[in-house]
Amino acid sequence: MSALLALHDIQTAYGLSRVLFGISLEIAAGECVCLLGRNGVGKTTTMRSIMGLTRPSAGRVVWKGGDIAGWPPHRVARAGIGLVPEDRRVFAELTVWENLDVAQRACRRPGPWNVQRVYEVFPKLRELADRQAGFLSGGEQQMLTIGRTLMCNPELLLLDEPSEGLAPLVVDRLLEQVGELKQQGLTILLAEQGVDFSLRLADRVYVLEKGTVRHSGPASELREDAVLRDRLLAL
Amino acid sequence: MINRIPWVLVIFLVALWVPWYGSRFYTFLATDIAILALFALSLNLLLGYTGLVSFGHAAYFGIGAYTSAILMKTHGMPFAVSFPAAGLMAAAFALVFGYFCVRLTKIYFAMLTLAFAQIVWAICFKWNDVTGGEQGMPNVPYPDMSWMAAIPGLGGLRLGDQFYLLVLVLVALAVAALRRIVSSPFGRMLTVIRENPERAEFIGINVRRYQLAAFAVAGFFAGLAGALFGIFNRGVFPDFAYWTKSAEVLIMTILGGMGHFWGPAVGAMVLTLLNQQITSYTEYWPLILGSILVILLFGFPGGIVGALVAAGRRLTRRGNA
Repeated sequence: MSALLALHDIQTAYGLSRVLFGISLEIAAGECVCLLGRNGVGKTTTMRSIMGLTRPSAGRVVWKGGDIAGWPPHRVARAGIGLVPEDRRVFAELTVWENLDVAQRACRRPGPWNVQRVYEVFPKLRELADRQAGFLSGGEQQMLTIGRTLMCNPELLLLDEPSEGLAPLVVDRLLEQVGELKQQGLTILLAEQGVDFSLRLADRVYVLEKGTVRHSGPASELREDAVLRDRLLAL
Repeated sequence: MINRIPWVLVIFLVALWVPWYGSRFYTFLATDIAILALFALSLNLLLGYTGLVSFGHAAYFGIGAYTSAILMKTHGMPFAVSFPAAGLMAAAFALVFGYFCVRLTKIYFAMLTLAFAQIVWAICFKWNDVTGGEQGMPNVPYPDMSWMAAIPGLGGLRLGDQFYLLVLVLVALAVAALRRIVSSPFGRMLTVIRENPERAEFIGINVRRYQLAAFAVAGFFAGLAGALFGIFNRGVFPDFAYWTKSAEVLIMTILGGMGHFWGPAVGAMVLTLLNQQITSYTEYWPLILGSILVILLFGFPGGIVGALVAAGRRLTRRGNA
């Protein structure tokens, strides 16, 4: 199996404080892989390292066979990796439509996504097209952030804690929508603290602890084995 | 209802009529305001739209002024050549200086813009053969405006009044161009960068390149303003590029309100009028200016236009209720 994205022994630090102590993982095309773990274990940092927002001090980030560690984020985005950050902040001063339009112009990456197709996945955004993005609800902002990332036609979507801070009903809808993206063949790397959202979507999981991979395996294993789940994820 | 009146057009027409008011002083003031308004608006492309604090914007004003003056006075070139050349020269310098500045962020960016501006000032101050050094370049000629006589009603005007009309039209065109730029997709990219450069970067925007483009465009318009100011001032001097000039335009922009397109123009007008009024009463203008800034920064952080827009909104809301 040749992976779409592979991390080889990534080590990342913010100044003097080291966060990742050698993370290795692989994602094949079409897969949905989940990074599970509590707050502060390095899920966000792993995503930032892939995206080039925080440069790993050691290790390789291999995208379609080439090392992209150290590339500036805009180059990583144009290579086909899209990040939906956990703070899901939209460009508050622009309208919903402008948010999407700006992303398309920024990236200029050809592909199937355009404003109409984003509206088909998130019909709510069509109604809100002329609304200033800063006035949207949390769930609507999350949809817009995902839509904005899709406008760049990514092959791999990095979703950082998409369910955080959203009402259960909104999370359910979001789950459906992300599931639909997966159906359409998009490769997804998901970071989550809770097992509910992630285990319903993921094919495989990596459980992180203190900046290392503690466990990796198929999601079904964790879904079925409550003892294992408790052992790995107990607070 | 207030929104339906085309305010910009009204103000332009009122401004056009200033020469027929007959006072040399009012024409002088209006010319000053129009040129400084363009200068402040050009800075706001960086400050208000891209989120870059430049402490050295006067460098490009000065480069424009010297370029135009040298071409017109030393080489006898017509204004139609020297004016665009001033903008292009300023933009070229902004491109070179900006290349280094956008590699830094925040206060380091600001300090580097200041450093480059001081270098420009020092060169103007010392390069006697070309810039006239400390003495500057007095007696920059007026452009040839004899063609204006062909337009009915303009032939009898004083040279200063004719030049004012030329300035007004050129500034209006430049401001219209700036307005187009900020509302274009390019302008939206700049807004996105100001809101959050990191987020802009990972949706695929080459942030530095856009910042550099904004820096060069702002330099271009500052250069145009400088060219006009050199002629208006009847001479070009090193202090055009001095840091106090950079501070002055920064104050105008913040006073008027950098969150609104027209804010800096209003700031330029208010600061110029206040300066004229207050210096006729007291020599302590800096004291008054300082006090105004303190009140403004604490009471009206959105500047004059920001405060007016907020008040207007409150009124309409009450009207609707």
